[in-house]
Amino acid sequence: MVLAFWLVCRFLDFALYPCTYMRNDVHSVTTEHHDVVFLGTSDGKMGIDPDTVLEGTGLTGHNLCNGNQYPVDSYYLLRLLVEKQKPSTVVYEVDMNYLISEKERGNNYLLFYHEFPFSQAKLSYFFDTILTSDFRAWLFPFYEYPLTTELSRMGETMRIKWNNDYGTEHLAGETAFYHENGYMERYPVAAEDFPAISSRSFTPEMVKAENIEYMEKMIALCKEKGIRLVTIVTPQTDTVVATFPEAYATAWEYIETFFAERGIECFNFNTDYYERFPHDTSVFVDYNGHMNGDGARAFSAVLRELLFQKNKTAVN
Amino acid sequence: MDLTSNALLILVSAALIVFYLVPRKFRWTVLLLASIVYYAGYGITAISALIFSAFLTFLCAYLMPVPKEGEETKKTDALFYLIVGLSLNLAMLLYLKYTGFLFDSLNRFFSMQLTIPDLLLPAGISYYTLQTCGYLVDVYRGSCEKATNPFQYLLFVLYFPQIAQGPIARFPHLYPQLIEPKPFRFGRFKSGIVRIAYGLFKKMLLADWLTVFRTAIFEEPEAYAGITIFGVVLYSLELYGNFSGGIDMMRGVSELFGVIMDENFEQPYLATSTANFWRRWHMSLGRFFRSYVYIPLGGNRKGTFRTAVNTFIVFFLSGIWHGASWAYVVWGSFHGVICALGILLAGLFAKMRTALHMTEENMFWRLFRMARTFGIISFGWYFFCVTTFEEFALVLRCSVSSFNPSLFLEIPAGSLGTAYTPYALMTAAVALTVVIVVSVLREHGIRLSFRISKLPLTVQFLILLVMVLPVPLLAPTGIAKGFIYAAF
Repeated sequence: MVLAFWLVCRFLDFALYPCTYMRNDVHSVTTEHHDVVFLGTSDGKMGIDPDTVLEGTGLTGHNLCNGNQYPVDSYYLLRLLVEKQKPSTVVYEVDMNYLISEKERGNNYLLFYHEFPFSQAKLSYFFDTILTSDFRAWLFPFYEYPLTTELSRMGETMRIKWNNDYGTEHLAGETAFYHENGYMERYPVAAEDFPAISSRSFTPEMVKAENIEYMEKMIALCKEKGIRLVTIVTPQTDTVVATFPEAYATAWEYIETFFAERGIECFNFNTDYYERFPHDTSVFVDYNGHMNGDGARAFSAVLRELLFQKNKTAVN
Repeated sequence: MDLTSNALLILVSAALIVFYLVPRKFRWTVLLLASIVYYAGYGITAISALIFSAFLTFLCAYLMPVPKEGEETKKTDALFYLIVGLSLNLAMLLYLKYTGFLFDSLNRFFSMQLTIPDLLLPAGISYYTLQTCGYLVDVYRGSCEKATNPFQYLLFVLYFPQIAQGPIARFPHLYPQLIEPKPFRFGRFKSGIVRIAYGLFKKMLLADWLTVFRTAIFEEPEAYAGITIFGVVLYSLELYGNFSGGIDMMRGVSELFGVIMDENFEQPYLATSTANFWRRWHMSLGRFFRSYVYIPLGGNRKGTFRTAVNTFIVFFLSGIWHGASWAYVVWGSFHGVICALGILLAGLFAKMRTALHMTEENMFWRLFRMARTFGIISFGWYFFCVTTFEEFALVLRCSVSSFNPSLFLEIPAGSLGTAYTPYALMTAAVALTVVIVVSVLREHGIRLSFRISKLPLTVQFLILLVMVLPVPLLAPTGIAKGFIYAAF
């Protein structure tokens, strides 16, 4: 009876849990070797094209960033990477909003964990996060996705999984194109169509201890394994910074000091490296720091210069 | 450890395997260990307070002599230990649960400047304090055998399926089952699983969806003025689904270990009077107050007026037990007054019924009484939904100011948005219909679980799947909502 129940749960997971970008991303970093891996949030996903960053270096890389990737997720992705391969460099994109908020239970909660192959990293991830979640996260992980949507694409989901298809065709959307290297290319949006600016706030007191704990763990793991860890803060539009100058100034100072105190390189494209990249609306698709395709390629080229001119030997 | 968490699922699975592998006489240690692991999740302060309370009670009861007729010295000694045990347990509850409330009230009403202490309230303290007090009184009365092993007594207090939200166990009923568990029986095991499934169904399909809508309404009563009146009706149903669903789940878990816990609900919303409702809702709490407060006060043996006063006192105390806030005091008093009036005016009502030629068996009269009772009980829940009198007045005003049910469609179905709202409403409606049908059948003595258990095993499995699978498929996304009564 228990076995039959388990099989039903596995079948439903197979049929109803959608094939996400993360499925392709995790598959790529666990089956292929990458020298440079990018971790972080949606700003990194849409702003970093690994092919452009690594052009001419002879190195390979993958963009593992994703929206809703909190430090706890980045840490376990890093653990998985270390378990399956050893990249020489990890570039971690830091978003101030992810320091002051907690990982939300809801859509995308299982986005990362679900795709992990069986590994020590997955077990630890389970005991750290999924253990205290409700039983659906373990037995019925598809529950996070609306049934109305998933039922209609159930056939395609099963076909893709059955064929072990890791192509990118089904991941193409109306506003973005997903590349095999994990980079999400956003199509341009006119500034007048940007969604309204949402409120920003940041004080050191708002920073959640759990987020700091996992960033510390990432630093320690990279040091232990001899991996070069580089942190970046991606550019924000001048408009949004001018609207909340105090919040941004406090956040950037906090982030820069945090990594400087721990001897970690940090490129902040809004302060010391402000001049290296434009901050007008032409390179963005919204006021949240998400870049369009042209902006991302230009930014990736700038990132290449900084990564390799500053510390070429460490990467090689 | 949340009742719907993976942690509990793993704990129960592991405990079950070990429980049935070890010899029967050691099985209680497995339950004790599992209970300690479960409760340890609430922190060291919580478990220290509980262990202190349990061992103190055990000691008082252990030292309490059992006097025979005429042994006055022994009677005095027994009373001494009873008073010590009750005082220390109740003092701990009063101090941890009510100091903040008392100081806050003094500051508010007498303009005092007392600093409100930040005390940690151990989980389940309201439940296990009543349980330990009940045990002490039972030993004093000589109505139960004493526990002889302090660790076995600790298990009685700490037993994990009941610690978070009851039912409040009676020592003579639960203790023997814990220390001498029954052998494995497949039928009982199946029954436990069905009960868990039905509890999940009630909790996650009915209560959790209603929570989404009710919360939205009460957070912005003015914006949803056209449906505020439904808010409290939703809350009545939500509270039932949430509380009885949680109890069903934990009773089911307990059945897997061969331990049958007390029933806590008996179709409460089919009650035909407020007094009748309280005999069907949170029955273990009602039983406690009846045995240890109402009857010692004289019960109904000292005339109608004293009966009414005793009833009021019970409800007043029940209100305070629910929480350290004036809202609960008012809520308890409200029910106390209603029930007391029911007792005082019983003769008048009987005359009216005779004049109107209404008999107890008349279906319309019965339906009217059920609707009236539901209305009174729901009105009382207003006090549970609000925290201040201003809020209460606002919600009440919005409830009667306008009527526009279409506003329901403007409430987002959690993270799924308003596009999913009709599906969410439909899910809740279907779940409610199932719960009503099961309740009505039970009221007529028909137990579906019993009928299902007579079907072939494959059919039973399919029925179980039909009950369980809608939970992940149709319940609200995000983390499952908590258990309301666990907060009391």
